[in-house]
Amino acid sequence: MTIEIKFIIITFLICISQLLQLAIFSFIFKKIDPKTNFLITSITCYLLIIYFGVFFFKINEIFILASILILTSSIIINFTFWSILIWGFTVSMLEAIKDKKRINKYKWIQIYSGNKNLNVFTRDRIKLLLIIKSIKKKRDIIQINSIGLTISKIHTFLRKYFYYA
Amino acid sequence: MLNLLVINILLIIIFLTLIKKMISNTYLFVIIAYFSIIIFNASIFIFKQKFNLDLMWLNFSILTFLFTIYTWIYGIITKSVSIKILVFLSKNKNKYRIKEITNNIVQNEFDKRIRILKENKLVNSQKEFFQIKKNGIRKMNVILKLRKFYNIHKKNFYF
Repeated sequence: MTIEIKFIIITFLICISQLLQLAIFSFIFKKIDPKTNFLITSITCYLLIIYFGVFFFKINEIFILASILILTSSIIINFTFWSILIWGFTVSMLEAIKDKKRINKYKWIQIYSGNKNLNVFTRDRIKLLLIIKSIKKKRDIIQINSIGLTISKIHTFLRKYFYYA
Repeated sequence: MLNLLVINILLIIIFLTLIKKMISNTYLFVIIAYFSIIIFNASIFIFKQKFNLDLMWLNFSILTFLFTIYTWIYGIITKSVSIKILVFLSKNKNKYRIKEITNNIVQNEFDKRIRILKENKLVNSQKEFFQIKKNGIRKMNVILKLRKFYNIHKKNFYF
């Protein structure tokens, strides 16, 4: 087996190992924030690829670049799985009624939002828009700004010309 | 290398402009397009009888990366509530209260998710009441086991 083939196999193993690393880190650091955990494991995976490519196998740069692209794809897939597990909207809704016998929609919203209403959820999502500075907020009033308008235009463009959705 | 990359980009454009219009399911389109282009690439290498591993690995990784990004962006633009709020705000550029955004976007999204749960037979609905089905409990238990495995403790829908 050539070192190139070995490096390809190791690349795939590193990609899969991120899910295991997430479990190990959360086992060692019991109160670690899931976002931090994901970030640390992603960086670890990149460092492992660089270590094996540059120092261990001393392989061609094109090979390392290709492996980094594969790892990035794998991290995106793992992040999707991770975010569904933690922040998934539908999953959280299902979780809210897991132990309940029969409830109406109003009660469902109440349990889901922690004895409040859906405005809590809206406020939470707005926080994210404030972080990327795409809206302005004054007390309870929200208005889009130029960054938000640009993102919205990109969204419309992608939807129309790339996804036909 | 450059020739093959240009061919691949042309193939992706052809798939996007012709095939995507025929297949409405984006995930199905991605699977068909990805494997078709991979098979096309493999057949070029077999036809030319030049097995350059560097080139093959780089080509495979570029294609995988492009298709992953495409699928990921699709997920964001169709599922993200934050993006939907932003698009709603951009329509009239007016000022909105939180309550108005909840009534126009979040409430609709909540109803849409209920519909998805019902379609997937995870939730039962009778008149105006809802109850989780056995299938739903089973799926939720898997998620809870995974959360336990990864030591994820949720206080509410968010941290």
